[in-house]
Amino acid sequence: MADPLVIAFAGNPNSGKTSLFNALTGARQHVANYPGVTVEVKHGRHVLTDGTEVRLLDLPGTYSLTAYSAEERVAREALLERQAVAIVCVIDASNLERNLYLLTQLVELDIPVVVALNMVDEAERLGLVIDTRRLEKLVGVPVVPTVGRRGDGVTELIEAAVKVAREGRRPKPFSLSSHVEEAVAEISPLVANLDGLEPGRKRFLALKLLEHDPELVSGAHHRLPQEVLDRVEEVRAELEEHLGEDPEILVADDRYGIAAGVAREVVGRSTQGRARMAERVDSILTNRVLGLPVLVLIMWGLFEGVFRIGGPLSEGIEVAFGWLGATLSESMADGPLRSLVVDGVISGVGGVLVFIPQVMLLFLGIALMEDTGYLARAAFVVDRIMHAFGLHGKSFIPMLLGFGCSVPAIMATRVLSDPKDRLTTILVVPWMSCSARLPVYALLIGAFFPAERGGVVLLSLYFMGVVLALVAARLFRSTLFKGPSEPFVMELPPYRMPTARAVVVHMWERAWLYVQKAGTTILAMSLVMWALSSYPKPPAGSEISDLEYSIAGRAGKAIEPVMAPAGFDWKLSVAVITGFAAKEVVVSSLSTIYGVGADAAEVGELPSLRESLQADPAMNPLVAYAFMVFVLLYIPCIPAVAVVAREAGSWKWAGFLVLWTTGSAWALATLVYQVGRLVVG
Amino acid sequence: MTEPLSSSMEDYLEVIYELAGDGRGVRVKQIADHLGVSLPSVTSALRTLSDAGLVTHERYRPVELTPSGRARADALVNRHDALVRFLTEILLVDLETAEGEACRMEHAIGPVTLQRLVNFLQAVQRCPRGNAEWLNRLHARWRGQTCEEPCEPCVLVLEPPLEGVPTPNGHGAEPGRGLMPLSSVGPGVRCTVRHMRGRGPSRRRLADMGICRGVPLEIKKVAPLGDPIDIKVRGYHLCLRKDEAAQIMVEVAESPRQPTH
Repeated sequence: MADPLVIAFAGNPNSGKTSLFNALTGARQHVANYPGVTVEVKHGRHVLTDGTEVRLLDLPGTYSLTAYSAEERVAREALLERQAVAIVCVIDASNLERNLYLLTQLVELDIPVVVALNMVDEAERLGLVIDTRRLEKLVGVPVVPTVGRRGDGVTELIEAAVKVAREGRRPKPFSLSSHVEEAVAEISPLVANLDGLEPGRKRFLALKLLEHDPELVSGAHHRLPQEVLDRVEEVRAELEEHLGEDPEILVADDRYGIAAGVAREVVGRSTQGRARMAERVDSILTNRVLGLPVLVLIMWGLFEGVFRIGGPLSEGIEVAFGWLGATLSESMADGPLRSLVVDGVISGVGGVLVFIPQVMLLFLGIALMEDTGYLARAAFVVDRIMHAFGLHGKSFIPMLLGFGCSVPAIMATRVLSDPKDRLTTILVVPWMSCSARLPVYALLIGAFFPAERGGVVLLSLYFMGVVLALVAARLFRSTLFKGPSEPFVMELPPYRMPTARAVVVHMWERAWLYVQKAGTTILAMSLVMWALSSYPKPPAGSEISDLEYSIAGRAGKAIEPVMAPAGFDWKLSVAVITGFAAKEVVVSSLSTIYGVGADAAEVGELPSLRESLQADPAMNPLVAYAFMVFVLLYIPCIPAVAVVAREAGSWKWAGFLVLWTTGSAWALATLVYQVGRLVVG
Repeated sequence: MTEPLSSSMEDYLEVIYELAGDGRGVRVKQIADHLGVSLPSVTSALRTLSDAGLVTHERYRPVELTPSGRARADALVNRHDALVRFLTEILLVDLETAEGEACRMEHAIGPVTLQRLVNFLQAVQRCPRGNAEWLNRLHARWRGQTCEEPCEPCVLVLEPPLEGVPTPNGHGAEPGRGLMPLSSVGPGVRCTVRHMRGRGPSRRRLADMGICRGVPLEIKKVAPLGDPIDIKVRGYHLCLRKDEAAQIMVEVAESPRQPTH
């Protein structure tokens, strides 16, 4: 059997590519759909009615084939390398003009194209009537109307794409203005005989050279002889002299001219666009006076919700695990195996799983903000503040996603095209308190602070992370990465009512990853911690407790002097070290440590971790707070460090991050503890 | 390759070019009406242009530009635009006067002078924050404004304030008069992009987002802290910082509408 056909989905951001893709492939793919911008090419499979298998690629959204940011580069590379035999160009029917601009470029790639005229329902609601047949004639490629979120038209779409792919029907590029065409005609013969250039790409390359595309000019794809580059420069200079504009601007103007012309021809208005609810909502959310307070209120509501709704739910799970531990303790014979299961697995993994409700609520909130389009408004509202700290309004999106998990957040920095902006954002994102730190806070706040103040204490930690991140950004911007910031040019997508399905899928995927992590990394770390904190056993009759005599106990004692200024005893010190693997492990380590440390005689009425912590004389609210500050700031988990190394392009930055965050964490936790002691007395 | 045309022939060519707009043919009557001349003079002019290979014209059929006629007219219109830009942006002449004078000047000056003028304009405007600083100070002086920064002494001494220099200010601007940076236009104002300053990737990015010469746009709102701004262009919302907006020179089409609520 032949290799499966590969079809790429390309389109502007917010054109609904991903919903079409999901409708065709079934929602969940082997690359998780992170809440956030699609930053990687995602793969999926679809089987046609005749049994043919088709592979689908979901490319990151892009406005143009001129790549600015890392995610746009990803999309462009996939198309240039001919990873696909056909392109589905997804076009938002309610925003035809700008979406057609990308189509004018896609048809130059010498790959068959089909247009998915998506969200036709939304266009209809806005009173737009689109003449699909006429559009098809004007653009010269098949056009299929679709509604991605309902799955309408997707079968026709994929069949049309397979058809053009099989026929190998190359689209005909649009003619640009006479000056540009003349310049292209001059350059084309020069590149015609280049090694490795397919004949069908001649026009594309000539245009890109005329536009002075940095990557193509520097020969990343084709080695270009110097005399060709010189001649291209001459043609560019002539054109510029003649028309007083850079050729790349002339080309863009021409393309928009075509797009606007086509849009005018095919779009009719059935009714005057009504004054919409969304406009009214928007006038509050981005209001000059109310915009910022509303943002703070929304954030506050999110954290209150996480704590107030999540708290009772997680107590329920805690009770269930407590019962499971007690039951197993009773039914199993005393010995290493019982200790392994009860103190290692149940308390370690259970201690983490208890916080699933909070994690799910947090992701629910983020998914809602993202799917409604509020996230972009938030970036709009805070850009001025971010700018003052040397960041970018768009940095807000990765930073907010950082509340979920640093790993996708660091990947989401790909929306930033300036390397300085991007590195700064990468380095400060880990201080946006991720959901893995939430269990630590939830545990300690629950144990040491009254319930009515829990939300405020939690918000203070998140707030501290944000403020420190901003200060650090300012510091990096004025030392490591000097220079002007990238221009802030961002689309404000239309408000959309998110489908319950999409939101639930988002939330479920994240929660499932969390559960998987509990079953793998955290289980393994729990077992290691159990072993380290159980062995070697102290000699019989010794005064010293099992835990203190164990390897973990001794390691904790060894670093205790270093951590003492921050108020941590050896038990907390051990927990901190184990948190390198993943921050939830801090909780499971504490569970294991206090589980192993608990008097075996009390089996049957196993105290919860919360009660054990409260009973420990070394613990009090101040130590708990200093500890939470430390956990907030110190080294992000190993996976996050690895992602930083990959995205920043060097381990040097990852190493810097580890030292910088851990140093700051120690300094601030110490400051909190010492100042707190003075105040409390 | 281009033979010189008389100024009236250039006018004909320009008018045909403008009327043809979207590529459809132009009627002789339209040309006559537009220029305020008689039908026979148009016919005779068309014969000259047709002999020069610039238009195709048969009896009772619409007039069409040949490719070389189109290119020639393009260059003429461009020359006209360059002059208008020089008059409005450097000399701060108001748009209406500039349009009229450019019409007359364009036939009078030779290609070399014109090209130099375009070069000069670009050199002055290419880096609006660095090189054009002196120009801003000169303009401020003409307007009788005081500079916040210490002015070049020679500008102060040599240049007296001038009468009738338009002020680039959202309130003082009248519709259809002069160009101003988008950053000084208030919310609710509709305007048209006439010219873009600055070069390089940020200019390119704006072009990719659909901000080209001639595109209409409307300022929708300003963010809580005064920056960035939200504009509606080509049917969607785009936000820009004021720094970027300052690079976009617009012509205001309509006074700010009163908010309806």
